[in-house]
Amino acid sequence: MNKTLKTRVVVIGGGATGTGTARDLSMRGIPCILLEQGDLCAGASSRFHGLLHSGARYAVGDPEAARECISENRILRRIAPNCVEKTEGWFTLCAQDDPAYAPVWLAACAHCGIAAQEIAPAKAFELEPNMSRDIKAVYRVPDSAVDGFRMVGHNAASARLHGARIYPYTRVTDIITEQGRIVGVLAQNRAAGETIRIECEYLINASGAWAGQVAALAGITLGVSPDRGLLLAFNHRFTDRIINRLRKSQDGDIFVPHGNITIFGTTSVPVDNPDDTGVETKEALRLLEEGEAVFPRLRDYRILRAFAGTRPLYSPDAASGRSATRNFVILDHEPDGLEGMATVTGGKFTSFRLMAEKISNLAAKRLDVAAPCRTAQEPLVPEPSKRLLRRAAKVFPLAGADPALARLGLDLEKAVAAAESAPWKKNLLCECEMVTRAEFETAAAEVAGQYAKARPEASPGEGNSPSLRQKANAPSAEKTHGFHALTALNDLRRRTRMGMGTCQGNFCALRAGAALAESDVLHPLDPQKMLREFLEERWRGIRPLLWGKQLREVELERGIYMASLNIDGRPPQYPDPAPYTGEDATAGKNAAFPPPRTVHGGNGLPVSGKSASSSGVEGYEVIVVGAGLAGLAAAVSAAERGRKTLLLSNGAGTLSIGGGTIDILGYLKGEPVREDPISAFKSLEPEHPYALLGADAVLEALEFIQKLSNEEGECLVQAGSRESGNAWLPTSAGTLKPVWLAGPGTDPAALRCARSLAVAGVEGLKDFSPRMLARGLSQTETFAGKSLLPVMLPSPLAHSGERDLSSLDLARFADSPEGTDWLCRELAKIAAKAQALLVPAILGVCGTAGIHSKLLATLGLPVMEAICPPPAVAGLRIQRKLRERLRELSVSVFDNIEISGARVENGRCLWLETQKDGKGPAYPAESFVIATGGVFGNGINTSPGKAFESIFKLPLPMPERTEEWSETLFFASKSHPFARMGVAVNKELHPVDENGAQVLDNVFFAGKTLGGYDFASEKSGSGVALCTGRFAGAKA
Amino acid sequence: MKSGALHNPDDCTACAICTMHCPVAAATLKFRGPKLTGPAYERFRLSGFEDDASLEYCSNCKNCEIACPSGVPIADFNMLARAEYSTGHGHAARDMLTGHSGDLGKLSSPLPAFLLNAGMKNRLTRSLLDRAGIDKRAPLPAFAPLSERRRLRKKNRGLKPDLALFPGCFARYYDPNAALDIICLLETAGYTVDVPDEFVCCGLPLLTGGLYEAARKRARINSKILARLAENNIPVVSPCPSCALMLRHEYGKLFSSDARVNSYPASEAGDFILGLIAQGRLSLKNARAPRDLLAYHAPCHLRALGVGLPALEILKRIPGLQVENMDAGCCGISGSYGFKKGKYEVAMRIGQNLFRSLKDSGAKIGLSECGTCRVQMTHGSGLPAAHPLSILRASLAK
Repeated sequence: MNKTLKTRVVVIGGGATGTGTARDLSMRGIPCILLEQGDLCAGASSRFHGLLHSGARYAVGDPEAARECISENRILRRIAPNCVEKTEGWFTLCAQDDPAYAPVWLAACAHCGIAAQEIAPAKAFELEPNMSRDIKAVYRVPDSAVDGFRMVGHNAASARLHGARIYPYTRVTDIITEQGRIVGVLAQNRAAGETIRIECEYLINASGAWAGQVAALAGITLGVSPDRGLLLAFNHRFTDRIINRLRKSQDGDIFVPHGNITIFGTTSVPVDNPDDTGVETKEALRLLEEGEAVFPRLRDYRILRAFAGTRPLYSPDAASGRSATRNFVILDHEPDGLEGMATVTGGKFTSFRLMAEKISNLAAKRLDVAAPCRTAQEPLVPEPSKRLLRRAAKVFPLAGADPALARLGLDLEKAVAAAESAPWKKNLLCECEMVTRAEFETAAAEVAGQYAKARPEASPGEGNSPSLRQKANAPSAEKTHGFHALTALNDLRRRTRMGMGTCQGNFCALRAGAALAESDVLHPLDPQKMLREFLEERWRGIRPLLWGKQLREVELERGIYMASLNIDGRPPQYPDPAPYTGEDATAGKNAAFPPPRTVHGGNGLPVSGKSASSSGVEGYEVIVVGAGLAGLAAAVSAAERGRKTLLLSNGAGTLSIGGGTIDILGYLKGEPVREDPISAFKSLEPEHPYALLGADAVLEALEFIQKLSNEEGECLVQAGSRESGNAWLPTSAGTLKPVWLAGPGTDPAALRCARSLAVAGVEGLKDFSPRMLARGLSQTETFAGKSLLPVMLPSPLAHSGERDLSSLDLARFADSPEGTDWLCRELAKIAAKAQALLVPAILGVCGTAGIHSKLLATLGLPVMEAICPPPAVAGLRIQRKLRERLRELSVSVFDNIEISGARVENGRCLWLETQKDGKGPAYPAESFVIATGGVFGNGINTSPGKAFESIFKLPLPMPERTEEWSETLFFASKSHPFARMGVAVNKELHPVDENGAQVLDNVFFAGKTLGGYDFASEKSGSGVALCTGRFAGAKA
Repeated sequence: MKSGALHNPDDCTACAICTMHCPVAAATLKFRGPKLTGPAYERFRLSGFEDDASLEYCSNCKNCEIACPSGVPIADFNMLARAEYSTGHGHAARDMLTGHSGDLGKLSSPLPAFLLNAGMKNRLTRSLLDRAGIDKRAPLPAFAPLSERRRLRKKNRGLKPDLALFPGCFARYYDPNAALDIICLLETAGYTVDVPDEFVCCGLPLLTGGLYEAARKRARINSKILARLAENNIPVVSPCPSCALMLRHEYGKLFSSDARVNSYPASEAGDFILGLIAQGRLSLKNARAPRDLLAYHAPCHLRALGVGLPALEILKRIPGLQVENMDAGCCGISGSYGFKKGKYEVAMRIGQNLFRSLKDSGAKIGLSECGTCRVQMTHGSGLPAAHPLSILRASLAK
């Protein structure tokens, strides 16, 4: 036993009811301790649609619940305006629903005192233009939207203010009774890694769907059955009002606008375990089908994620699903022979305050406390002063001001003060939900406080005697920090909405980790673990919806965190340099390509019947589609051979967001490639692009890009070598990544040999934390035990309060003479402290080689760039070089051209089409290189269970069940099946059918459109793009 | 609740490639960048939040849309948001001035150029304009001689034409010769060209100034004429890539709520003439290349049109003609953006790259399809600038 605490009431459950009860009790002056097994609001209080019921939904079936709802609805709107958005709600009668239900429902609403007012459909369509025009009737009711996270957070803050103690991550392991009377509980505090004994007079079980499990600890059987409901969160707000289907409650009835997202639900599936919040794709698809009756374009909207919550249905008579009552119950266990314990369960979010009031009434009665309930009268959070609001308006982004105010509640002043303390505290860590660094740090301090409070030495109040404090074993920092790495980012997400918007953490996760590392609170000892944990949690909600826009976002995420930052890969162990073995097995196979075969029709390719209108563009021998690394390399290669070449682009290509290094092959089947990666080609599957091309083609392409990049001075250095394999270079996430060609001055030997390394960041550069990098590196074998010195350089660019500084801004500044001087001057100040310097990718975009050599001359020690997330300064350098070369070669580049299809005859492509109807301008050529990218570049289109290549509509065989597209874990040891999806080609890079027969004779595929490899987990993306592009261009 | 494709930010993945390729963002930290002001803020605008003042820095050059891998109409998001923002905050005098430049041009059209230019370019006017928000250093274009403007007007002949030219305000008032050169080329190819007098400004300057309703009104007027022309299968050609972009792509998107506005397949002149050459209706056989080296700058809106660089294609086919594609990014002017106070410096910084390339090229003449690009090229580099099709016409002249 680590510690004993004493209080009057223990409340189990940190959802709305539990925190509401803690608030209620403490406002009556009753000391209480709340124990929650996870974070506050991690259960059903955040896993519901966010509808504050008017009661109209229950009016017909359950008038008592309906009356409760309307009364609570009015109270919550009054006491918690920060948590409630007064949207109003509509009940809409869809064409397929029974019109006879409407009068019954109207009468029931009237009976329950719920105002329901008819709106003419024409008026309704004007107000909600996205709604289906088939809707027959619309009625307005006083529904509202409620934010569960905020409501629970503010209740907890208010409870604490009144003296309650709240312990998240503290799971009750035993309920102690003496002679049929509750005397306390035993709990395991996971944050502090200790067991606590809490003595109490009364125990309240407010654990929702877990109530049965908790009651069982006291030997009581409860008829609580968990019932799972699925919800879909959409990326934008497509309705301003809550839209209910006017019918008997069924699946997919409710749409709730929630800040800037829309939540749609729900389903009702009885489950055995309240922790069973898994989501099945078919359940989500069924919901979408239901929802289309109300919003016909629902499938066009981006779904952010799917999530499920488990409702606690109280059904002693074994009713389940929609037939079970939504009413709450207070179960006094005294009649069961157990004194001092009661359970509150069932019910719904809307009535949480009433549930808390009722159970607190019972507890107060048993404890002989006469103080009445005050929760219906006192506002949850006092109104902030006008002056504070004026200050807040100056430091929060305009659009973000109000959400931040509402989220922060009692912490508003702290966040405002933080934002005022330094200009970069106004930086947006989360640009999708507009969370500033100041707000994030304020929330981090709050979370850290909670963790600390759960630790005995920091717990004030009764029962915390000095003797006990001495006895308590303070958990080691290591242990606590390990725990933080697992939970901190998710805890902060629930408080701030960070990572809950469009990019689902793609950009803010690293920034948040960086901000924590720089802030001293909750700093992660293991930053990669922290990021992985957070992204895994985001993945759970996306995985069942792996198609279309969701999948594109996932590919971006894999590009950043896996391909660029390698937070998934196992760290390397440096082998002794292996002796060079000479020619490897795959070399020299290029010459042996079979001659192309002609395939005549019948291959499933579209043959357009219409003749295309001429674009007037003619005389091109080669057309390359796609302006990424593969497309640019292909166009250069074709033009270098004297072919008249045209490059068609639709978007700037992923060189702008990649890491900017050229990687060949870092991992093979999840294991680091320790030998020469080119020799490792022999272990690849035969359909892998490298296996198809062979070593010579790869080596030639590498030589090509290096030569091109180094025309004006060394800009792309060969860091890896055939003798010692890949170079393992530091990334801004604090990992090492296997690389072949890297930025200026990269010298892995110098890095390895340096006894001390300074890592320099720039104030306000939110994507780069020197402390996070240094901490990560110190955990690698290479850097363990070395002196790693994080340094923060003052920002050279005045923070204007508008755009946050990016590495690209700094690189552009470094390109100017004063920028180069600034770099030399600032880095010179720290040069004496280290033997090598690591900086973000800021050494210029155009004049990199010059900047680097000037730095070398000034500092006299190696300076290298870490591999950074987007904006990809290093990638832009390569892009710039390739585009310059295209200009020298007089290659025409046509921007903004979307190729919709192609005219194919007798296995040859005649021209590319630019409009879906084939009537747009056509682009004819002799041969074509298709480098349109994968899912992210729109070279591959996906829908539930289906994938095809986007120009020739080549089918890509994928499992019908979306669940089989991916592994359960995002950072799985195996490649996800979807990751290797792409066009199958032969050794000439011509597409082939399932029998290996060539289907297009004059079309080559290059880059991410190709199948058979996983750019992200293998760390092979830039290498494959470069080599296949180079090869295809040379053959075309 | 707003609805439609320009209020649906769902295609954006937040990758921010647009911000990396935004010329304004590269020139000033005061602009939050297209990703934030466009799709990211749209989610907040849909939730009823007010916009950010940083939005005014968007120049609507459309490089964001060209760079976007997801097909998000980012600049259109910005323009609609700006329209709403300025409706709430009042329109700046300078936006009224630059937005209505077409109307002002029309009003002044009976006056001779020396009077107009003396009136516009004197110190007093410029300092008054400066106070109204037009930077006094800005290279306001000079009115063309009355005779030239009249020659273009006379092309409205009420004949039964088989091609209609949408001249655009710049050609009408400042550079009728460019339009006349194109008409000459079209006539050589056998077309009877009409320049309908009823055509009004395409609406783009109004839109970028936040004057959405005024732009919509003009789009309606033009749509009516365009529809009539479409009925009779009469092609429409514009010497101005921005006008062509508006007519061809933007009308249908920006004004989708107005049933009386539609996109119409108007062609940019170079694109159309390249087609004529391909069909053999116009021959380059007798073209004589000018001796001077030419420096070509592709207007951003031409790139946004997605037709390649047709005029450059044509010039490259003239034997012996020396033309170099500057490929140096945006010139900065973006219509009237670079004239505005507070934006002049931004525009000049954006154009630095191009100005340097032009100066270093050794060319005697700069070329660009866009009128205001030409003004800015001359302002920034000192090089005179012409429409590339004027060069074609000159080389075909016997």
